[in-house]
Amino acid sequence: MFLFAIAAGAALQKAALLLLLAALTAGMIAGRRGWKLPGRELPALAAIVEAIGRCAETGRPVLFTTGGASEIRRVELYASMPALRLVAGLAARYDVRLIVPVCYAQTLPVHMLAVQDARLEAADADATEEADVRFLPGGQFLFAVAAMGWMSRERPAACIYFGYWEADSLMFATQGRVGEALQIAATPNLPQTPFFLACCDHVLIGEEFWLAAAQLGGDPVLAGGLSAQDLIKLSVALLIVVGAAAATLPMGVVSDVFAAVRAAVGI
Amino acid sequence: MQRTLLKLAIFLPAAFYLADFLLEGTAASIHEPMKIVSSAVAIVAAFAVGLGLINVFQVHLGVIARRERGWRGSCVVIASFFITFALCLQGSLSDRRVRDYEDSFHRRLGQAEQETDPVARDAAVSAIRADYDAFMTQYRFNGRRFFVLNAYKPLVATAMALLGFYITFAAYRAFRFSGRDAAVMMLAAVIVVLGRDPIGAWLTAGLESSKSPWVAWISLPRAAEFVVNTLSAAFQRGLQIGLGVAVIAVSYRIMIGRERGLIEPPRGSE
Repeated sequence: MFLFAIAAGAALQKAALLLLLAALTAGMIAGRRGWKLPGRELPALAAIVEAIGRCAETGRPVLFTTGGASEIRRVELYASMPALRLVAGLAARYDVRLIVPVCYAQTLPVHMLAVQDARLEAADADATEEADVRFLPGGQFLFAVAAMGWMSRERPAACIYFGYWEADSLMFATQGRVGEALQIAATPNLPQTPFFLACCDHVLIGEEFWLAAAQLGGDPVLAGGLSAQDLIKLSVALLIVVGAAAATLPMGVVSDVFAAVRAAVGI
Repeated sequence: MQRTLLKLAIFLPAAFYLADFLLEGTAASIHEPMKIVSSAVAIVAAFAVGLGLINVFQVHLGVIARRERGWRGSCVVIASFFITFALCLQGSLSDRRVRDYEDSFHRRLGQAEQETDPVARDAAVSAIRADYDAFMTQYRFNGRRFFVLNAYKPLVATAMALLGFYITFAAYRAFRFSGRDAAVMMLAAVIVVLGRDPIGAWLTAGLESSKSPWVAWISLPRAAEFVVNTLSAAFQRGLQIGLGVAVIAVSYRIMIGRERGLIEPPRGSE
C-alpha cells in the first residue's frame, strides 16, 4: 500500500511536470502569434538604465556580480545573464567601465560570453572603457572579501547583484552602501531578500527575478511563455482554494457537491 | 555553426536528465547510462578550471607589468598560487605514498601474524611496526593539510565572522523609518523581536491574561506568532509556488535554447 502510494505520488509528479511543459510550449507558440497577458513593469529593471547613467556622470565603474553561491549547476546563474548582457551593453554604449567579479572558474566562460556578446551588439558605441571580468578564487567567503576589496578600490557608482545569493549578499550590499553606490539586487533565495531590502535601493523579490529574465529578453515567444506561467500559477491558486474549501466544509456538503456534479454530467 | 553545437551541448544532457526523471522506476530506466553523461559533464566543467587560471594570471601579471595601483597585492596573489600549488602537490603525493605503503603494511602484518613460532612472529611484527614508524616520520608533514588547517580555514572563519558586523549594520538600516515600505518592515520587526523576547510578554502581560480573546490576541507574543506563522508563512509559500513554476519554465527555456543572454547571437552579428 505504502509503495503504491509512493509510485502514485511519483506518477503524479511526472504527469504534473509534463502538463506544465505542455502548457509552457503552448504559451510560447501562442506568444509567437502575438498572444500575451498584460503584465506589470518592474521598476528595478528601469533603474538599471538610471544606474549606468549615474556611473557615466560620475566617471565611476558599474559592478555586476552573481555572487558566491551561483554555481554552474544553478539555473539562477543562467537566468542572470540577460541582466548582465543589458548592463554590459549599456556600459559599452555610455562608455562606462564594467567590473564583474566571478567566484567559480566554471562560470567564468558564461559571464565572458554574455559580456562579449553585449559589447559586440553595442560595437557602434565606440567604447574606450573595458569590461573587466575577473575570477576571484577561494570559495564563497574569500571571493566576497576579495570582491569587497576590489569594490573599495574602484568605488563603483552602481552595484547590480543578480543570481542565487547566500550569506555573502549582506557583505556585498553593505560594502556597496558604504561606497554610496546605487544598488539593485535580485535573488529568488527568500531568506536573503531582507538583507538586500535593508541595504539596496531596488530589489526584485522572489519570482520577480525570473520575470526579469524573461522581460529583459523582449522576445514575444518568452512573453507568451510568461503568460502561460501566470495561468499555471492561477490554476494552482484555484486548486488551493478548492482544496481548502473541501477540507473545511463538512463532508456532507462536499459529497452533495460531487453527487450534483455527477448527476449533471450523467455518470 | 558554433551556436548550434552549443545549443546541442545544452539540449542533449538536459534531455537525458529529463528522460532519467520521467523513466525512473520503469523498465526503460536510463539511470546507468546517465552516469556516463554526468561524468562527461564533470570533465567538460573541469576544463574551465584551466580557463580560470589563465584569467588569474592574465589579470595579475598585467597589473604587475603596468605597475597599476595594488600591484603588490597582485604579487602576493601570484606567489600565493605557487606556494599553495606546491603545498597541495606535496600533500597529494604524500597521501598517495602513505596509502600505498599502508596497503603493503597491512598485507605484511597479516602474513607475519600467520607465523606459528611466537618468537619469530613477535620479531617480525616488531620489525614491520618499526619500519612503519620510520616511514611515517618521513611523511609527518602534509602540505595540503597544513595549508587547509593553517591558512584556508582561518581565512574563511575570519570572513564568516565579519557577518556578525554586517548583520548589525543591516538591522540598523532595517529599523530606520525611511518610507512606507520601511515602516511596514520596521513594524513587523518590532513586533517579532519584542514578541519573541521575555520583555514583550512582560510588557503585555495584562493583555495576555484578559478574558476577551480579541484583547489577548493583540498581546506581543501572540502578535509575533501571528506575523511569523500566518502572515510570513503564507507570503513565503505563495512566493515559493511561483518560484517553483518559474524555475521549471526557465530551465525549459534554457534547454530549448530560448533563453536570451546565453546562446542567442548578438543582434547584427549574424
